[in-house]
Amino acid sequence: MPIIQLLHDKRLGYSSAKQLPAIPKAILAMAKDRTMITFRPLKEGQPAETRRGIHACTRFLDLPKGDLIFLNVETDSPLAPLVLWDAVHASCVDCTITLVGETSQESFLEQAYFNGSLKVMSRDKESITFRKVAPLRAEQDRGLDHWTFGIPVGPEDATLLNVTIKRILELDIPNKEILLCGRPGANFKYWDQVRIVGEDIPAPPVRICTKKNRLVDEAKYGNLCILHDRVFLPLNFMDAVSKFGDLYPLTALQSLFFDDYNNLIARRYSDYNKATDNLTNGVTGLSKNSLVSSSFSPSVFSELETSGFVYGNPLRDPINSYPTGSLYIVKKSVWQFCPQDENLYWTEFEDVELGIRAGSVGIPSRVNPYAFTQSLSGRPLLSFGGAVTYENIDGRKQVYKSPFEMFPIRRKPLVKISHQEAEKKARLFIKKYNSRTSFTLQASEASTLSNSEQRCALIAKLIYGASFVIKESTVKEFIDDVEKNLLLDQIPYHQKQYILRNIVMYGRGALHLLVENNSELINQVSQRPNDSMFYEDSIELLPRRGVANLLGSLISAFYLARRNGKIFFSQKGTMAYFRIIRSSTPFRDYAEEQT
Amino acid sequence: MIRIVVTERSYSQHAEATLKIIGELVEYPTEQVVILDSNAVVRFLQQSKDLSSPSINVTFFSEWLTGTKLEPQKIRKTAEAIDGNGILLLDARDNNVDDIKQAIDFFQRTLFFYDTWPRGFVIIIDDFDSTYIAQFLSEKFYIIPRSLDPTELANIVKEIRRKALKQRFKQSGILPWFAKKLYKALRNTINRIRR
Repeated sequence: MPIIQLLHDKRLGYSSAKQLPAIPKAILAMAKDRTMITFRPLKEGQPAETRRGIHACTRFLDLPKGDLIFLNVETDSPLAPLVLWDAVHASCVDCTITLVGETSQESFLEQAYFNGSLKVMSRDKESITFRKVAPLRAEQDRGLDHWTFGIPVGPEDATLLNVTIKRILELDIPNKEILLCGRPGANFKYWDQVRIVGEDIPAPPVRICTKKNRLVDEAKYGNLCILHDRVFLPLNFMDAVSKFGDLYPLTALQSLFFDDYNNLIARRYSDYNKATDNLTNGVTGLSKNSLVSSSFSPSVFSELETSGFVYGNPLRDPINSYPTGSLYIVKKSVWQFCPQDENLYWTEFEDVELGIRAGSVGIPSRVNPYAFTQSLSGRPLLSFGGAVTYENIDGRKQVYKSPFEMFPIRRKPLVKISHQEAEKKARLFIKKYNSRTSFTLQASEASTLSNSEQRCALIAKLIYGASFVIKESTVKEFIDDVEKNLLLDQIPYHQKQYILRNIVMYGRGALHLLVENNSELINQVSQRPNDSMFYEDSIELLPRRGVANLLGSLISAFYLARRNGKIFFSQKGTMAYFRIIRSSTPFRDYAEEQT
Repeated sequence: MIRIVVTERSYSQHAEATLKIIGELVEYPTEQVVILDSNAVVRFLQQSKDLSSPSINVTFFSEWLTGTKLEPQKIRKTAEAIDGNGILLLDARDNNVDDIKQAIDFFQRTLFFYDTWPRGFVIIIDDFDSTYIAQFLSEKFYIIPRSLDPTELANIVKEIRRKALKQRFKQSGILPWFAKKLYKALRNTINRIRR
């Protein structure tokens, strides 16, 4: 009667063995020739094995083969979906899995993903027994030697894409293929190393879900890494996935973004999020292409946006968590079972939808903590003056800001847009809205975009100098044009709605919401109070190798290691963080060699 | 959609000429509000231009009221009834100017969702209130460009930078930590000295 007792990592604040009732003798009798797994203590004696410090990054692929009993695991631990996922995938066909405890609610193993592979053998008030009758979907793609890397791309400048591809080619993977969905820009270098699919997918709007689904369908191998072209993979990618283990669900890697060239100002950047509030607070709308009410409807995007999204803690439970669309590591068969909703386009919360839906059909989201990615570029929207909100290890929402944010250190360009392009967009805006104004944008005035203060003045001039009809379609178009051509970053849906409503009510008197009371513009200025936001050459987004970068990486590693488990989680100390940072830094020579 | 404010005097004294002028004005759409007072109509009469009267959909402001209460439903119905080529004339003489403003507000919010607007919106108003209503109307259906003088512009930029810096200094690690410690130490010292 081997009993494995699991003990939560104390820092998580989940129920400890002391807080849980002891296992009754009658139950112990059930576990005669089966392995029992529980968080509960024994009344007498010692368990055969105690696994301490259990958190969301702990895997259970090594549980004893044979029949398993999970005693109150679902009621005692929010980590149950992860424990059960691993246990069920690791167990062999014909084995039974018994869940003992509260069974009034639908069990995790009764979700759609497990149908067909798990058969309910018996069910009573206290327990439910499943027999594994067939391998699960993820098991069809067993093994970690074959990888498909899929990147949705657009026709713009391919400098950063080249850097991403070069890194993938460097990875020590026995069999790999690189798929691009869409045709990259003319300066793309690796035409003979990639396969291009999905050129028929129309844009705009950016059909990111269709592109990702196409990448999966076209993938030759069972292990998929779907990433955006700004995600720079770590050199130890293969080592990390091997350490983490096979048969993973929807998995993310933590992602860093350094705002400066010396790897000193570290930010967490678009990797794994959590919705801390009730999604849309009970308000739903009609789905785009069907008569189904959904939280992911255009009519409630503004509600959805305010659902308290924070960076999820890699060690905590997967409830309402999801990998952001930047990077997915997933098995082909798992994705095909739960593909992305093609009715949603880019920035329409398609990643949230996938994560939440996958969780509800039995595919939890989790983080592989053995490697980090780095983002080649950042979006100002994703932090407020450099601060991000994250879920602490104990579940509290906290704000993280690098202590070096305050220092006058030379920063990277704030947005992935060149100065010329920004100027061109400003001119487009002028042509559309300011043609009746007495002033026109002179060439010299356009160059003022290189200075934050003058850029603000220009935006103020253009917005206050605009003229348009106060009609739903034109006001919406105007706000979209301000977003696309002047701010060059997304205005949140709820803010757009607020601005629209105010323009209807107060007309010109509401334009201050797009200028001096525009939180996005203020955020951009707070991140670049004096310098330009734009680059002259996209290579400026990448840092150079050198002593300064080495030192900066070391200082950041020390700082992050001291706060391990809070904003980021890696298993070892300063040197581990240092290696993580160095192995994922996209140095400039990656791009320079191309030219 | 041209918006025309007709004064009570010009309409009651020269109704036919006023309507002819309105018909002429709607041919030249502008985002500006045009005030049609009796002097303007007299000038027109002196020129004795031969114009035909346009077809105008006349609504009396009282039709939008039940007793003294404004009825949004009735305003919505009026808005729905106008076609894209029509001219709406609202006779709002002898009414409370605040009620008229409120009605125009609602009328604008209704039109906001419509793709096609009438060619003209004409309001007849007491002479005394005409400029006041014209100014109100001018900001109602169109955003009129405004050029900022250098001081205004500088103030706006200053305001953005002030807010941005506040955000930058908020929750910002080491420096505020020192600042807090320093502040506490100073406060304690001052308190001690006071005591």
